[in-house]
Amino acid sequence: MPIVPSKEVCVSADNEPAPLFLVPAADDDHGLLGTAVHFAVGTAWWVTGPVRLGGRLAARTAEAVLSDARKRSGWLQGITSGKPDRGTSTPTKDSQTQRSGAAAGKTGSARVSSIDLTIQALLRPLITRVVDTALAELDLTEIILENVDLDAVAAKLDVEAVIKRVDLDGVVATVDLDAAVDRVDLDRIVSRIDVDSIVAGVDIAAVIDRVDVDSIVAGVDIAAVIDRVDVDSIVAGVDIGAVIDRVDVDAIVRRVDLDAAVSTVDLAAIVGRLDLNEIADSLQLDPLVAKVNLEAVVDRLDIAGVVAKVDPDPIVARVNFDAALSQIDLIGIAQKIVDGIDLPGIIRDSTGSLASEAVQGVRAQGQHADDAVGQLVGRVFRRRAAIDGNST
Amino acid sequence: MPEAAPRALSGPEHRPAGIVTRVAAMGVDIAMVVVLGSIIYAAVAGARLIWTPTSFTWPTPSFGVITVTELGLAVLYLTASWAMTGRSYGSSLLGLRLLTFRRRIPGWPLAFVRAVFCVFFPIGLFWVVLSPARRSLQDVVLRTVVVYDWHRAA
Repeated sequence: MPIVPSKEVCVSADNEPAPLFLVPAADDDHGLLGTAVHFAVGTAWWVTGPVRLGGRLAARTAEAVLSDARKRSGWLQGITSGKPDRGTSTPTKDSQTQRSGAAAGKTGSARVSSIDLTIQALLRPLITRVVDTALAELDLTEIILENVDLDAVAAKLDVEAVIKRVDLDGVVATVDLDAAVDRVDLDRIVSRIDVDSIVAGVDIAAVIDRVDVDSIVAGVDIAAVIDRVDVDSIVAGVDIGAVIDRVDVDAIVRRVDLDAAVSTVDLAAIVGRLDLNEIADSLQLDPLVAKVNLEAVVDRLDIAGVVAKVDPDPIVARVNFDAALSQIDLIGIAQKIVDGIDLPGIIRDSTGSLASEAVQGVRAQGQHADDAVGQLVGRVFRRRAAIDGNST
Repeated sequence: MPEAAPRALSGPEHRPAGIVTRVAAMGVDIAMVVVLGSIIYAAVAGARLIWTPTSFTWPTPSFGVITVTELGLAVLYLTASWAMTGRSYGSSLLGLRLLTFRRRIPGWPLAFVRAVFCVFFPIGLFWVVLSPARRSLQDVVLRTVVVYDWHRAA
């Protein structure tokens, strides 16, 4: 390949020719100083043309020598390539490609590869240091943010493929979830959550439709749940009055099919389990009886028919008269009766009448005796006693 | 002055009483005096028991004391009875009443004199048998009469 040192061009990274010192100043503001600098650089470039030509020739010669030497020495080949010995390393896809290229027998490409390797061996340290220095000076993040269209890059990313390639199980396995949870301020998170808006956005009906309540209930140990529930404390905290006030009992009752409900109830069993005596003791019968129109109830009763059907003998036989009498204040009743009868007056009147009759008899007998004695004496003395009983 | 009877006591129903009823009345009055004497005796004994319970002994009055006491009780009993109602308990039981000759209830002096007369000379009662007007000796002397009167009030 002929070298044209007089032509003032250079090769850029993408092999496009670009003028070095003949390029006019892009900005006239640089003025004379900029023109002078360009002139100086162009002059230096032109002056160093022979040197650079010699350097190229030396480089070409050294490259040819090194290429031949590398072909002859494996050690040198390893040193210049900077890679492990190909005889001991595992062949990769790239190396296989290179081998396939080499096997193609193209002499030009092999020579170019030798030159590249030689340049790499000579310039690698320099390039490395230059790159490190450049990286240290450059703010890659800012450069990327300013120059890279991240949206376009993101649009081209196959996120699903990336996710598929991620070993989520492995990632999760390495995470210390306990420590992470301990570091989470749940109260603060919860306080920042707008539960109302979340709930407002939830389609409760759809959620409920998707819930398999039967399977959930089947899996619940109801007995264990009930055992753990402190019903007393729950009931103690419930404002029963407020709950009852909020219940629309009328609406509930209207919706209830009482006939169907009652038809399913075993009333006999319920009555059998009831302690009627206790219920009767707890009833306040006086207010109920006060509201009852007993006269109307009695008027509707067929008292005669009821009494005719009653067999009083077994009832009387079951009556504990001793207990009944023991609860009756017989003395008080007797006292009231005696007070009402005026028994002393009756006794006085009866005894008085008896005594009066007896006294009347005695008096009458006395009078008869007196008369008899008077008549006797009158006959003895032959006189007429006008005051005697038979003289009138 | 004797009080006037509240009603007429001179009809056929108020004729003079005979010996049988008057003796019977006298017997009842004697029994009453004996009962009164017994009550007085029990009262005296009770008083002594209360007064000297440790040395209590039944009173043993002499016959004279008993006689005087009984006679005094009889006089008082008859005087009060005749002066107030004209009849003692015996007379009331037998339906008799003592009146003056004016058919009035006797006063206290007359009642007292007749009571003393009757107590100390009871035999005078039997003059009723012989008297055509059925009057005892006391009635003749004191001008009183004993009649039948079955009514309670005087």
